[in-house]
Amino acid sequence: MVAKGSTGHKGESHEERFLQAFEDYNDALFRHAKLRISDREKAIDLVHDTYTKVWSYVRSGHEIENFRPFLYKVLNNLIIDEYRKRKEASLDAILDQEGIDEGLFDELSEDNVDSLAATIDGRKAFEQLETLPDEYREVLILRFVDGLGPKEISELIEETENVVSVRIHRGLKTLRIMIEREERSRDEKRLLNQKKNT
Amino acid sequence: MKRFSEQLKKKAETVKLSAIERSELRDRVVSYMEYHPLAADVRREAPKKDISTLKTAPFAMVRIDMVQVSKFVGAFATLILIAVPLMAERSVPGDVLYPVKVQFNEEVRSSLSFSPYAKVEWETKRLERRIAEARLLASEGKLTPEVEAEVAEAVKSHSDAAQREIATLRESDNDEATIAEIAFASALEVQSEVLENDIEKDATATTTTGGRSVLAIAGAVDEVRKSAVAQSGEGVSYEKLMARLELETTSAYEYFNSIEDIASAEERADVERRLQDIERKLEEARELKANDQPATNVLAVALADTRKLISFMTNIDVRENVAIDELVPVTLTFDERATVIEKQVEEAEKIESMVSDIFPELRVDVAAKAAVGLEELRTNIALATTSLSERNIIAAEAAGTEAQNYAHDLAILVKLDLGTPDTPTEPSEEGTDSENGDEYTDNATSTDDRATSTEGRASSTESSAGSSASAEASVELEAGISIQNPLR
Repeated sequence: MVAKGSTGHKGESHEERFLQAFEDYNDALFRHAKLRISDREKAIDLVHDTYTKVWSYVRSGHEIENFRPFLYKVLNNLIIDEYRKRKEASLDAILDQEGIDEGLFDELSEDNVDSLAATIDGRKAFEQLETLPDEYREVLILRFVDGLGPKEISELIEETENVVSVRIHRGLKTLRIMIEREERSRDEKRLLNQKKNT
Repeated sequence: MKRFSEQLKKKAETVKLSAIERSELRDRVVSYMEYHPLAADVRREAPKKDISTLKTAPFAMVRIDMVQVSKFVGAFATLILIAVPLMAERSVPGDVLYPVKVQFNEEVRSSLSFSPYAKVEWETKRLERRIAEARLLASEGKLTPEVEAEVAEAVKSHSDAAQREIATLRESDNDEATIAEIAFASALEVQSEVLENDIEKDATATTTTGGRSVLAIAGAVDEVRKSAVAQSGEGVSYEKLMARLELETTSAYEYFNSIEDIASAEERADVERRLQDIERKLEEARELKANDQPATNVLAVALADTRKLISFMTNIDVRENVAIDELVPVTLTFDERATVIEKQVEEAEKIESMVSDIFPELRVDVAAKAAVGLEELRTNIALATTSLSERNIIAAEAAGTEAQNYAHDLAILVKLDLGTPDTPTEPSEEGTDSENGDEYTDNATSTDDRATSTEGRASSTESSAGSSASAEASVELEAGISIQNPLR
């Protein structure tokens, strides 16, 4: 995803630049929102709210040089608000209580993340995203769907890069476990069906 | 890794807005923008760095737009230092901003006037302002006794302050102090005239509602006026007074030129006449000075007149409420005074000849008195005429006035002797009335008397063209003579 709006805005009005940002990012924002909260209507509303909030910010006299990180930031905050509203007793909350340690050495390495990711089937992972705790889902979507670097993510969710790396790592691990469990149960079902058939 | 993210992304890209959803979303956002348009100033501004480019928290969090702040500070300062005092200038006692006017605006101006003379002038001005406020309130019927007392108090304190400044000034410069005193006293005189006129107006108006009276203030002004009687010009340097007068008359002429367009011809003539009077006084003073006589008294009068004239021209309150004659009476020129004396003499002579004519008809005791009176009258007439020819205007004026008085008394004496009661009916000179009276008289009287009566009437008709005082006397005389006949 290339930030088209970030260059050559001289001579453009605020309205033009803002609408351009809408055209550039509405899809990506919607996708992000949809993957995070699995409610299509709500996701559309959140994207709408994101744009109106950013517009208000422009109206109050602020100049936004680069819309993309700003839009993501606003959307992310809205999503967090949405979670709080729902107050789902999720793994998320439990993790929050536990706090996050600095992580093991191998979890901090980007190479390890790559090698770990290589062992996972992306298509299957996508199907499992919904059941993943949001804390992991957030960073994974930002990293692999929205294509943000660890640094960008850390700025966005206001955590250190280490925490982001650890989360990505653990998220992937969890995903793999979930996929394996899924496969195993599928295998078992298949075996069961075979037994029935025979 | 590549495979994983590619696969995931590919999968994720199946999640997208439908065309309809997107256009609906776009419509919602656009309509939000239309309902919340940018302010004009925001629209024009050049792009600025955004806070999102500031990486570290402390800088990102605390960002105060100094341009905005300075705008607010500027606007606020403008409001406090300029707008409020300007608004306060129009306030009257009882208004919210009135204390600002009195205790801020005026005090600031006080502290800006450095010389004691300027301070006296400013205190005078403040005093005038207090009175103007009170009159404004009174004209609206809002002058409560409390406010009136306050204003009276303020008048007193401003006057005291002015007197103090004059006293300070006197220590360093006696001449300046006297000049300041003259100016102060003439200002007080003007204000007191204005207030007196108000009170008179109030008295004539039958509906004297509460809150209109300025009596207490007038009292206060009168009181301070007594304490600030203008010093006569004794002991003041002639040059200083002259210099001040030059200044004042110059500004008086400037004001005169500036009102030329708005004032009526009559007003212009009035003011011009006063200016000429002042010029003549200056001339007179110069002559006196040339003859080594004290000229400063004349100058002091001229200065007071000039001050009053200026406040008449510049102060609309004064102009509307006080006739110029009350403020600065016309000073007659030598020729005008001579004309007045000549008229007096003429009238006196007429009465003299008339009384001499009817002298034989008078009762004995009255005749004795009349004889003395006639003698005095003739002496005074002669004195006035000779003095006038010698250009001794003061003696001529005195003699002329004396002659007028004698003539007047004689006329009354003669009338009384002829036994006429004071007829309440006006012995008018209007055609029909006197015509009827004459017919009646003619029918009833003997032929002898008729001649006298006609003569008397003729002379009195002539004299009615003269000055008012003697005209009155001769009209009375005529009335007496015409009614005398039926009694005989």
